[in-house]
Amino acid sequence: MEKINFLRTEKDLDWFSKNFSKEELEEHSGEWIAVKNGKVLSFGDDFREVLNDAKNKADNPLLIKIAKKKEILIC
Amino acid sequence: MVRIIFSYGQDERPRAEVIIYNDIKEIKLAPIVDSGADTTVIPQGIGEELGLIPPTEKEIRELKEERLSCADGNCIDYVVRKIKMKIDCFDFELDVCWLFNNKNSHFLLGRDIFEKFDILFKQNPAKKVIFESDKNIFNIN
Repeated sequence: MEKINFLRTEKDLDWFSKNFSKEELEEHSGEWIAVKNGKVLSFGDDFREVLNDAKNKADNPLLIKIAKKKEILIC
Repeated sequence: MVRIIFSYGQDERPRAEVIIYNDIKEIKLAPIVDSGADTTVIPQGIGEELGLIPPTEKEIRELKEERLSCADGNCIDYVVRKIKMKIDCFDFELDVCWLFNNKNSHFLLGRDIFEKFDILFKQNPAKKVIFESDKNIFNIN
């Protein structure tokens, strides 16, 4: 099994936090996105499809569920 | 003291980078840190990918009495399953609510995580969420 290295600088989440624009958030509203090294590898509604598609392109992608536009999370 | 700092995204949500895993695979995810959620919640697809055992008939019968209540008054089905999780150098097991028939829900880190870390939300102006632990060992079960 490939092990994920622990890094204090969580690069992929950091990239998402700093670079994923409001326009991109709207574009992927309600979707799962898979990111790695500053690139969106895959996106879509189905978590497992997005994960498997992204894994075909790179090891250990980061999966993030984008909230729907104007969605208010109250759970 | 170990301090792990995550930044809010453009979506204004506090997220942490976590790894959930079993004996054969690891999945890297960025759940929302939710101090209002009693428990950690994972959607259908993540549980399926981890190979969690689907609910038994007995558990399904019991769902009528034990459903997860949301703040909007709706209720959703869940079963409790144990998963393994890593946050940076910390490794632990956690009972989570698996929304086994809900593909659209978010992955939320609830207050059960707050029992393992001191978590600070820096909403203004930094927009960071900070996990702190004074544990000297990295397996914190």
